[in-house]
Amino acid sequence: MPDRPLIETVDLVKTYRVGSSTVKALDHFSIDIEEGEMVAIMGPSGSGKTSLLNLIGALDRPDSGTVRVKNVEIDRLGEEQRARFRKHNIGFIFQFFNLIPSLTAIENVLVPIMFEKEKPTRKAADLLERVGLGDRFDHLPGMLSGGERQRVAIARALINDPLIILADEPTGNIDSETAREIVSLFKELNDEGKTLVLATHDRLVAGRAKVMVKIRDGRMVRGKAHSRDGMMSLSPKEGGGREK
Amino acid sequence: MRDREGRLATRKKARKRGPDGDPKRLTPLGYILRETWRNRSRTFFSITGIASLALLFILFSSMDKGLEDYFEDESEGVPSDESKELFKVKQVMDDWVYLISVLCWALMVLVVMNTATITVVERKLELGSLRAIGISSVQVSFLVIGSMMLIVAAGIASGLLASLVLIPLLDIANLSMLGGGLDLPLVYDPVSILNTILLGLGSGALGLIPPLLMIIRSSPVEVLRDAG
Ligand SMILES: Nc1ncnc2c1ncn2[C@@H]1O[C@H](COP(=O)(O)OP(=O)(O)O)[C@@H](O)[C@H]1O
Ligand SMILES: [Mg+2]
Repeated sequence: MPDRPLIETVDLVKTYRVGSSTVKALDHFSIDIEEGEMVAIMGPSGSGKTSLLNLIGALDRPDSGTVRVKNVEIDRLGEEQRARFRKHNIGFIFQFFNLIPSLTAIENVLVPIMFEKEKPTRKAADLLERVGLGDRFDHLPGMLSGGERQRVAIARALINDPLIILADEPTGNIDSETAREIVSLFKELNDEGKTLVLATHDRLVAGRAKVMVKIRDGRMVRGKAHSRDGMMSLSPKEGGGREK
Repeated sequence: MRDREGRLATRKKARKRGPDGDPKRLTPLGYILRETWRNRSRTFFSITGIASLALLFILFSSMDKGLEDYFEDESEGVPSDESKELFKVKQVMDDWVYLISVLCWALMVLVVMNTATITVVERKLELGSLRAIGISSVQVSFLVIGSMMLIVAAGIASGLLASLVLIPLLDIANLSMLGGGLDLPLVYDPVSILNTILLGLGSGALGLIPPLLMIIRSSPVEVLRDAG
């Protein structure tokens, strides 16, 4: 078998029913993402970024089309299988952090493996130190700033050593100074070999990605508009995807 | 529940973590306890409700048993006035004891169902996030079942404890109010203790069905979306 990209989506269609009408969130969207890439998915609100990440992250299933991650057709997996797939392969990072409020920082990092017999607590501690929260182990999320909460969420996303990190508007809820640090952290992770896919409309975040993909109305649009902003050019792979 | 000893041992070790020791571990039970404590006021009300129902149930069981024993022990002969009166009470009781039991059970199911449903709805985002990061819906259900079992167990235990004190006291006080001035016998029956525990288990199982269905049916995607 020829080497396949780590993430490969083909002709993804995702529609939502709202009352009697339907909304097309993804319209024959295809993209290849190679291992070790850092891809920013940019687009206005409602363009389908979250829908795409949910499909890549095995949270949701498309109406049609395929999502292949690590050579697994995850759109064919059942609910429980997808949960297992997420746990071992995907690190999720959300705009609103989604930490467990009653658990401390270190416990939050351990949440994904709380049902496991092996509990690498040492590793959780190392991860927290790694994201710069070595002195915040026992803080509850309520005592942490937005940026600190996002760091806890990043540590949590890393606890199972996922190949892929998916971040949906990771800096949408934190100030730009902190956002810069978070992005540097992403960059570091990428340098270490993690594949990152970030949905964002933050130029700062997108600007540091290796590959930028623009999405609008559920379709990939070429990023020409970006050179106007003096932002960046597309990657050598021309957006890392192929259009229909 | 495998490996309990080992787990306990490690937990102890974790607690006295030194500068280089391993930091605290996180177990599903630890998580359940933390959440229960966070919602302690609601937990308290649910426990109180279940305890009261358990107490009511065991009180009626004891009255029933008391009357049964009374007439079993009574030898042949001319029944006394008191015995005639008590016989009337027993006839009424025979009908009522079932009604009361069913009522206790139905109310207990409601208490469990309400508590669990509120928990699931209120913690929708939290439970959805857990699923997003790879905890399966079955495991999430375990967390909800665990926390409800804790509440039911605490409620039944408190109800039984209260009855241990209350029933002898009521027996001494002759239950004059309930018995209309009669010396209503109360007999604390071990079988009714067992029944109370079964009552708790049964209502726990039944009351958990709707909230668990809610978890299984809900999609984490929708939950995360609503929150954002
Ligand atoms: N659960 C849903 N029900 C109805 N419409 C939805 C749902 N999820 C997304 N949509 C619609 O799909 C489109 C794409 O949404 P989304 O993927 O969240 O975009 P983005 O993350 O770029 O803002 C939007 O028009 C949105 O309103
Ligand atoms: Mg979005």
